[in-house]
Amino acid sequence: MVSGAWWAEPRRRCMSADTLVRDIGTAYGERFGFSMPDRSVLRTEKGLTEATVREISEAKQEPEWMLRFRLRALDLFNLLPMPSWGADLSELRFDEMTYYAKPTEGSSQNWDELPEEIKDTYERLGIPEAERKFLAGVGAQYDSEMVYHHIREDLEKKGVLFSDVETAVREHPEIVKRFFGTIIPPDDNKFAALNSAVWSGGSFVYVPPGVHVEIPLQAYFRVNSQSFGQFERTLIIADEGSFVHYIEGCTAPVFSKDSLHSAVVEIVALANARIRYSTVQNWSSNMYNLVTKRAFAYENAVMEWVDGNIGSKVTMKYPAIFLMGPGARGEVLSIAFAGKGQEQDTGAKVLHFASNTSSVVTSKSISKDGGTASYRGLVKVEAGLTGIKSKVECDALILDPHSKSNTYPVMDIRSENASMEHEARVSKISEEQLFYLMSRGLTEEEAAVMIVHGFIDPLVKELPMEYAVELNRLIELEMEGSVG
Amino acid sequence: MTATLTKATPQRGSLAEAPEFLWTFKAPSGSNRDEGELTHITIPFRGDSGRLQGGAIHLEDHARARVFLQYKPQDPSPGRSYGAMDGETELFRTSLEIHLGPYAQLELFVLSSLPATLTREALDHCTLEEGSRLIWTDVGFDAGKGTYERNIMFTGKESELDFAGAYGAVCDTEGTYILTTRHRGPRTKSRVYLKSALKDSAHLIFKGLIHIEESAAGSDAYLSNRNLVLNDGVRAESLPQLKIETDDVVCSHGSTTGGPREEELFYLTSRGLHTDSAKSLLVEAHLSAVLDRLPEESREEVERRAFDLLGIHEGGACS
Amino acid sequence: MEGVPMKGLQIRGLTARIDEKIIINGLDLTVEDGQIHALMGPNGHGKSTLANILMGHPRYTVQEGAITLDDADLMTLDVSQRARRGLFLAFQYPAEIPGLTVAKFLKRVADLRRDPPKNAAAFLGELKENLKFLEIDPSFVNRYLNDGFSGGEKKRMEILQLLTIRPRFAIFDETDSGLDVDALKVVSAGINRMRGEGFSALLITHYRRLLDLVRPDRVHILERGHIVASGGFELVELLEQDGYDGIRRLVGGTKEAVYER
Repeated sequence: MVSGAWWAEPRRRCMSADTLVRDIGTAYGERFGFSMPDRSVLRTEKGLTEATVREISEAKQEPEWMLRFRLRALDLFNLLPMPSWGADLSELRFDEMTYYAKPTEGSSQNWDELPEEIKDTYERLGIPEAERKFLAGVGAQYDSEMVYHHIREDLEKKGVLFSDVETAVREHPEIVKRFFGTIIPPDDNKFAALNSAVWSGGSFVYVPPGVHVEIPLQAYFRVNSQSFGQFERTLIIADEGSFVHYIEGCTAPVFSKDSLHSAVVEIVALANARIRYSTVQNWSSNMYNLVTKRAFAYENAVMEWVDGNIGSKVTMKYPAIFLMGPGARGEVLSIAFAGKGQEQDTGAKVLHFASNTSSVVTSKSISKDGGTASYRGLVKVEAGLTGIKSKVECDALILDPHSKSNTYPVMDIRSENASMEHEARVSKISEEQLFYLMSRGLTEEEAAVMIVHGFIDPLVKELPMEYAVELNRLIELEMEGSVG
Repeated sequence: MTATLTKATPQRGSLAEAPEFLWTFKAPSGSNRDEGELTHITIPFRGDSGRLQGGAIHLEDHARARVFLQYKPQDPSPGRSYGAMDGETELFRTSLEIHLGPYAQLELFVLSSLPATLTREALDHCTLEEGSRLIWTDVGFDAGKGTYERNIMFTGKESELDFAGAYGAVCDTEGTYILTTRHRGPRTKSRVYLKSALKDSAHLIFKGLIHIEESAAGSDAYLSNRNLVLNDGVRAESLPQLKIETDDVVCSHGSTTGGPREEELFYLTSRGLHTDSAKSLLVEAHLSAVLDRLPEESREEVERRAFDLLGIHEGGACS
Repeated sequence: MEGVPMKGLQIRGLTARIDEKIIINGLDLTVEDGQIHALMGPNGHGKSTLANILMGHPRYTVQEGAITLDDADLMTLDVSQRARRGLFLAFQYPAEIPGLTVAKFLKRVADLRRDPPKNAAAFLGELKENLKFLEIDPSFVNRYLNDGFSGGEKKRMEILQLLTIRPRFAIFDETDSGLDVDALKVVSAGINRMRGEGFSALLITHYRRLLDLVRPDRVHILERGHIVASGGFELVELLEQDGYDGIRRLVGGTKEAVYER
């Protein structure tokens, strides 16, 4: 499925996370026709007020309707309560955060400030020097023009729109207005409201009817804007009969001084379309990663979420699929790795609103060194539907006596002609499996690593090769010293 | 006031008044009932709406007992049909405390089939000490709203629970069944099977939490919830939960909700049965695994009433 | 290891238990290099236990005795170390490892050999040959290790590992059980292929069939945790005719050896 220069440049599948640093765009803007508004505001003041929101909107030169959308969301943010369930968010301080920073060229990050573990992981993963600095937000930007240029041309020929959301708001308001904020309305939850008020960056993808986008699209292709923005907002629309695979994230650890990443991803798969959205998240250990992701799948459409959570201090993320039309299908494949000091609170939500729809959720988690991995899921089948099939499977591995695993599924079925199955298992690495592999000469640690690799293989298989290889290496690193 | 016993056996178990409880069943250390010796305890609604009626079952170490508990309405008139009368209901609140001493074993049967005029609130606590075993068969066909919360705490090592529940809900019954097993002692074991059948516009919620604490290494817990949905418009909610705080465990749960299976219906109707009869048969098969555990003398009657209730009636039986 | 006399496997005075129960009691057994011995005996008397203890299964505790392979003491070694010394166990019920493909696994263990395949191509060449020899469909290698395999497929997989790893000493724990005639032929061919200098084996079985195809040099009967009789193939014939009673009559009853603590 992948082709061209992208494949030949494996190391460039990832752009840095740091929100303080990057704007690759200015030079590219001139060359490829993006414009980057130049504003005098560099950084808004701490805290979130109406003034902040107005400044952000002005800095982006937004139309009136978007400003109104933001302001209404701000009101909702102030009204809505914090979630009463889930991970511990007591340390978040909304009034001490900065909600907008203009991306600037050049580095404002100091290599020496970077935490040791991150530098160490780059070393172990074999990431080349130049790329390390790039990822850490220290070095100069990557020269990925040639690769990017090729892909852009190809997409344009097909009529595929791929840009940052700001550009889409200006250049394709009809499409944006039709879908923006409709899949995840600002009043959905407090963090969706927050994002709706201060969103900045994120991808906009529109695939015309019948078009199949062969290569996976990634944030870094939109080199004119920060790709791992704190409050990025992504909107992906696959028109009838089209196909696209979008990849978000990076396996290499991504460092940001900001402690909150609160993104919103809205996806629409119109009739007979298929969308796959893959994420590999490896935020640094100071990050709160609270994301609202939802897809609407219409008649005979297929939506697939592939969700890998390795990093962050706390992640709360439950990719959701609303099956809106008959024949629609949803699949969620989720992996979480909770290490020391981490809480991965992830899962999936599938709501069946039409007949003859089906869903499959596979969740795998690994907890070690006192980490906590929780699965939270919902499968809901409305009344009066027929031909519904749903299967949820959760498997959790706990690698030592101090780590924890929780499973909190909810099944709510109101139709007779529905078949819903759910299974969950929690255990440690089986003694018999260890013994078997050790009896073939592998040490206990090697055997454990092999078993864990096998455990996550179903998800890793679904990722493009680079990610798969990196993810496997990452797991090996995480597993070191975890046995014996 | 003493609870009604159909078989009073003052020597081997004693019924005593306890300050907070209306009745207590005690089995002294080492006491062992002969096979088939079953103590019947009836818990009627006393008309005191909202007042908590308590009861307790205490088995001392190495004691064994078989107890059949039945909740009854105050005035069990056979003429009353299901469905609230004038919308008035009374609140029937009970609490049951079960304590099993080391190596004690209790075979408990609980049966409840109350009319819709009663709203139920049950809160039961069980403590299982070292090596003890609780085999509980729970049959619930209450017509009204009800919340049934059971907490089982495995304090001693190697204690075990074998719980099987059969629940039927018709008309506009609303039942919430909460079962929490809390494993504290090492190498403790629990098996929970919850089976239900829903009809008309009934609504059942099953919350089953398996909580394994850090001290419970070597524990083995399993919960399964299977809900048979008989028509559109019912609502079956299943919330099996796992809260695991240590690695050396084997825990799993499974939940299935759905209507009668196509292949099974096809097979039965291909043998000449009408669809409705076939469905009824499938309901029977579904709940039989649990109802078969009931003592012989009560089984037939319970099954008859249950299947009558869940059978597909002409013209509907909800008033 | 050059110059060291290849003595094979030697077990002396082995007594071992699981929890409080003694299963192996005063067992002596020697299998010289280049030989294949059969171990038979009634169920529940310790045959599988012995296999697992030799491999170092953590559940069992060895109270007394010595186990050596080519004069090297195995007792101080853990499971993987014993394997790397050349010990191999073909399991009766091989564990399943979902997610781990056969190919990936075999490559890993082949690389642990003292003479590992020079490169990927060499490994694949070996693998192809072994698959052909064992009449295993090549698509097998993409399946997850033992996951969803039938009994016969699992046993063939064990033999495939045998040929990939090329151990010094192999124990076959009822490898013949549940196999049809064709599968049995293939499995026997695999074992016979390893036969020769630098390899010895212990076949644990109940039935004669395997032993007709892989002729043992010596036969031992294990009962009540120790060896009650050793001899030639005639023991197999006696067993077939008169069962274990026949053996007992021959030996004159077994000593009251097993006791529980």
